[in-house]
Amino acid sequence: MKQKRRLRKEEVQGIVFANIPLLGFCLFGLIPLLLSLYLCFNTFKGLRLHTAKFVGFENFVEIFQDELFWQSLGNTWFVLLATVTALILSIVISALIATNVRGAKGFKAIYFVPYVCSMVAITFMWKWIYDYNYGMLNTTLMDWGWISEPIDWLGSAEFYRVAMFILLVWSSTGFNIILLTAALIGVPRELHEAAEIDGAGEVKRFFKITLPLISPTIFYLLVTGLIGSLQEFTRFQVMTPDGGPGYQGMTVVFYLYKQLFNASGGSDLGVASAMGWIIAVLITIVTVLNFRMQRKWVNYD
Amino acid sequence: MIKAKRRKELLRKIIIYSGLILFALFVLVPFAIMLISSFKHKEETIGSFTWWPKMGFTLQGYINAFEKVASSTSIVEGFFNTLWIIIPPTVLGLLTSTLAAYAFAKMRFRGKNVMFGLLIATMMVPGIATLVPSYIIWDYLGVTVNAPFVPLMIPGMFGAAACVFFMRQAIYAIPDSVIEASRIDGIGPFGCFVRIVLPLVKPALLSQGVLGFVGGYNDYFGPLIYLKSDYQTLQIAVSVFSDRYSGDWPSILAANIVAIIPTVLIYIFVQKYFIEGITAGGEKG
Repeated sequence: MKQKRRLRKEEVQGIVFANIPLLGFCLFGLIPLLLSLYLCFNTFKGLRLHTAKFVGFENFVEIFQDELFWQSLGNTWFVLLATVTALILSIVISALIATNVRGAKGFKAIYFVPYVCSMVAITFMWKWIYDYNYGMLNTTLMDWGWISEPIDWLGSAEFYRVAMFILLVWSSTGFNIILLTAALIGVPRELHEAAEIDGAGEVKRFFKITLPLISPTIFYLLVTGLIGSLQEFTRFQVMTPDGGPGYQGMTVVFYLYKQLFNASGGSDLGVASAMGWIIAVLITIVTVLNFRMQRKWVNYD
Repeated sequence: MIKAKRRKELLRKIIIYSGLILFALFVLVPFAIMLISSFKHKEETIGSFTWWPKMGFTLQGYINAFEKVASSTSIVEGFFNTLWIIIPPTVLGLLTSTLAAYAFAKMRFRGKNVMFGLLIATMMVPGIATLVPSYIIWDYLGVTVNAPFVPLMIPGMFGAAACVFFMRQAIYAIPDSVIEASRIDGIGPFGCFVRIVLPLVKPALLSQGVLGFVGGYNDYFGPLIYLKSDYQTLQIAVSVFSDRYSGDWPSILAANIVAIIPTVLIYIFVQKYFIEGITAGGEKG
């Protein structure tokens, strides 16, 4: 009897302990989510919820007719391009580290530094390098005679993307390299030795043996990178708070932030809620596609 | 024959090392430019860029960075505000996550698998959908005006699914016999958690704690949305300072260097935990 009561008490405790995080999600995730579902079909100015009026799908129509929204969504492609470039570069560097180099630890430690630094600081650092008049990049290129006039890296439509591309790649490799080098340690040496006896060269072995074996990690990085690209904000907002030349630096989250920021100025938060949903649905599609495609072309042995 | 092979091996080494060194330079040179420029005289950064300061070094940029500017948060205040805002949710969130992880790993109760499934499913919900409604709710409660740091602190204290997942793996590694032995001594489940489990998973706690702390310390989006100009975290304070000192590059760079020193120090001293937390998080994906 006593034993039974003790078990019962334990069961209650277990349920309570296990569900504190879930309770947090309900309070701060689920409730806002439900409110948002209501808000995105309503129109109201600023934070005055009581003025909310049902408008059906009008908010969504408005967003889909908004050119700037499409442009900021389109800018994701270029962030994604940088993400993929960073991933390829990371694979190459990790493969080099995995050839039993001396000082592998030191190299990895250096490559990881940008990841621990704040995005704000990193962005200001590059802003200085790209400075039109006095920056290191323009001065050096002119000293070498590659250009005769300084380039307006952050102010001209032709070069803004190049500048942001370099910054994005530079700050995204560290994380990839840590995961990829960890995955590469798991590649069995015997497979390589066997293939070497069969006469396969180093490069061929990399593509035929190593790459398939680390494909789960590559895929994971690709998906988190894609999700990250859709949520890109800080580096663009800090570099060009006005959205960059021709709004090339406007990302979807940046655009959403501008609307929320303008709440007291009377922007329609119903539209902003709808926009939040659109981004969230895009991210969910990516996540679900990930699970589907993973089965197809990722090698889990 | 042997000579050709040796030459090929040497060439291979040269290619590998030059690739790694070039990339290391690509990563490090921007930091070097930042560091050197932060010690320059302001006059010297107006003019052609030079690697080495001709006018010598000065601490003026750092002196400006630490100066208190009226009506905005100084770098020092920002630093302490950041600590006050992120340490409670990091520590408490870690404890609640670990408690949940302990329940999932070692306690017996009905519906365990369903609850765990639900918890993991919450990871699929993108936070961006809740941004606007959360702000509206906090504003409705009067929090955004009276206590704007609350939305940055309270939600994290309930723990996070990813952290539960990570800690559960660590707690699985504790043999059941250890847990049962403590139960025979008459310690309840919570006592067992505090006295037996927590000390045994210290390394895992450290890696999650370090990751959480650095993530919170570097967060820009949250504070930018909720906090007002007179009470800011370090990241926003630095960003505001940099706009205010626009054109004075040594001061801007000095302020930004000050802002990254704490996380770089943490990285140097507890690198092992850092890397472990990240790789464990990635492998589950």
